Amino acid sequence: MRFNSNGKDEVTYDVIVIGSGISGGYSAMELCNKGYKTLMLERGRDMKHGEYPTANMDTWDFKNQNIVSAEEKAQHYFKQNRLSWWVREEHQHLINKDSDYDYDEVSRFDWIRGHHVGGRSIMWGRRCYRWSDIDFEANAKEGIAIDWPIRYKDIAPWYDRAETFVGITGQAEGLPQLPDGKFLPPFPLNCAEQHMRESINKKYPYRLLTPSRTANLSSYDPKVHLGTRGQCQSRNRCVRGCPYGGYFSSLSSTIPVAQETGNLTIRPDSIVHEIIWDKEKGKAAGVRVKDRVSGEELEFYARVIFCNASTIGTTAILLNSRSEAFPDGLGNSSGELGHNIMDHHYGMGASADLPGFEDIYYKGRRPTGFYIPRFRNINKETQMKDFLRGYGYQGNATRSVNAPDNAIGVELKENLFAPGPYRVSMTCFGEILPYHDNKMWLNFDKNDKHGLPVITFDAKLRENEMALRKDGVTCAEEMLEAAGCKNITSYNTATAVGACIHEMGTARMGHDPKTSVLNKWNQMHDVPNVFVTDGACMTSSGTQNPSITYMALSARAVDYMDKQINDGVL
Amino acid sequence: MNRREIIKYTALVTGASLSAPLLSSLLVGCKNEVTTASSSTLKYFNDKEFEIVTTIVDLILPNTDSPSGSEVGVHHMIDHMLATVYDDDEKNKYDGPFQNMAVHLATLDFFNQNESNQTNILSDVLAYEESGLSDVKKGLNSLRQQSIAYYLSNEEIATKFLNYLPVPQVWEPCTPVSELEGKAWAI
Repeated sequence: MRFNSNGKDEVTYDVIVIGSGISGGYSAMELCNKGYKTLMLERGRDMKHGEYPTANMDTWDFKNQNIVSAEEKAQHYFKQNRLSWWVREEHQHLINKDSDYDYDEVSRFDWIRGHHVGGRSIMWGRRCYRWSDIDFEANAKEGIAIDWPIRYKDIAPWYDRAETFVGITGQAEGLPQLPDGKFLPPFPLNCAEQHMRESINKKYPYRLLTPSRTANLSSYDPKVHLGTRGQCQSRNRCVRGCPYGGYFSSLSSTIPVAQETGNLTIRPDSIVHEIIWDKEKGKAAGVRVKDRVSGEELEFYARVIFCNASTIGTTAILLNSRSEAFPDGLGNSSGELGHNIMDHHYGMGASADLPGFEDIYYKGRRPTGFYIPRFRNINKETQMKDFLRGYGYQGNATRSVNAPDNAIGVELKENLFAPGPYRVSMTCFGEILPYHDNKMWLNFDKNDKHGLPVITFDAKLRENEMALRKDGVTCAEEMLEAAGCKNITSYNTATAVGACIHEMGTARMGHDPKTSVLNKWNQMHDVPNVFVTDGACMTSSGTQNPSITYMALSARAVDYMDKQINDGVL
Repeated sequence: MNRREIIKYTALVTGASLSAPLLSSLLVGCKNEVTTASSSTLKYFNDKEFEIVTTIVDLILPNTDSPSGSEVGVHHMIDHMLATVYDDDEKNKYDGPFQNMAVHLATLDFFNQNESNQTNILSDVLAYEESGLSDVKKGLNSLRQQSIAYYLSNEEIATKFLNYLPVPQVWEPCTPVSELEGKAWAI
């Protein structure tokens, strides 16, 4: 038996996992499955699968048409609401209040959080795309930042493992820049999107429009999709939490599986202040926690700690874990902790009317759309002079409201109940390079209400990102034109770093302890019994939505830890 | 001058310069029977402004074989949303064009016309191309957009006049419109 209590208030576990979001949940499940008594600490409130109060509400059931009142936004969401699409009545109860937990910024940083058990895995966008060696090799080839310590072959089997468990829809396309995976049947393109795909294929080599790869169960197999899950009902209300368990979240998937082993203890309302450094043993001993509700200070101990508090949360905990050995934060001998913040940037793209297909509609509310994978700088033919790396598009074609221009009265009423013309929208998501100067730090002169130093951000888009944006807009327009679209409107308003909710890179992996925080196993160079498998570990940002990579790296890191323990190393 | 020219001329000479008190006096002659609400139930507009909103909402969405805008409470939803959801900046951007539109319509004797004439006047306003009248047109356009949005998101309209399917179960990418009675999805 690995669990023991020493008879005092303190409790010792095999492993402590800080955070219950997508990577914390995945790490905890893998640990519990291997028999480790695991304590999962979540700073937010408790929440259980099925507790989704808005899941069945229609627009008319909300007080304000699903829009949060101006007064509440000003009082509680003054930073979150700068991301204009985010603060909605449908998942207001899952959105952090800035009034409870604010942060500072030198330049605007959109830090979108979800403090509750399950974290942002409840509200995530669910798109899952593999990275390729084009991504893993880019830094080394271009002399940017540092080299990734892993390549595609190192992570591929772990993608297989995570994708199989999660359940990812998708269509195999054989692209070198976006490896195929273990796919459930795709949510097929509608007729307008299929037309787009064919038009783009005809005119532009390397550009491909494919059904998105997404973590919704288009086909549910109870033997594989363990937990409290079920067939996706095509309601497209995932962001509120799904009572059917139709998509992957910690609440519906990893946590119930971990609980079934009997090895998981979840402690919500537990704000980790620091990881305790044991200077005698030269490793981390446990964590110091403050109870969010009672204010009580507690300590928990473990052999190994997985820090999965989200990129920013993890980095803040590590920076706040100061000791004689690590005066600048635990495992920060490289000085890189908190630097190299990345995200994806968007706010650029185009939309247009697609004439035709009037007689064909769709049925159901697909919980996703299409994807156009990166097609720039993937080989010699696609090399760009103006910028490194690339971007992908997410979009869809839907039928708009059938209100002919300027029509009113009987004319409007005669049209209004019929489906309107197809409108294609595509938003471009671009890579952000790892810049040492894009960073976060703790302001030790200013504490929040829990006694933690306030996080400060200073990160911005730079020349490469700006050049990439221009090209992304131009290509969106080109593709809509190629498909015969009319009334094309494009936009290019740069988003703040953080706005894509893909923040990453502040405790990066690397070969060299002098320039990186983690080794190739997501293990701290300086503190071997601490692992970080959330977005903080990323050495570059790619253009793909990153969660599936965090899950694959989590499974891989747990496997490595297990071997190290069995070998008597850890 | 024909009617269209008169409208344009009047609009150009009045423009945005009329004050709110003058607006009230111009509207005194308003004869239309509209659904009125007592001031206590209104959150944003005053009684007079709300009469204008109600009149216009029902010209944009009149009663046909489906309810009119005001019959399903679109006018109250507009009042509620402005009061509750619009921030100060958005309110300011809404108010100016709304007042200009109201003044402009008053100078056209809009409020003393029959429904058919009123509909024609609104259609004319929506077709304005003169830059000097852009604010007037903007005011009406905002009301039109609000009316359409809140009408379609109304429970009665969505569940009785559109295709309402809360739990679709499946995604079918290509379904003939004819199999769906030619109606749009409610949600």
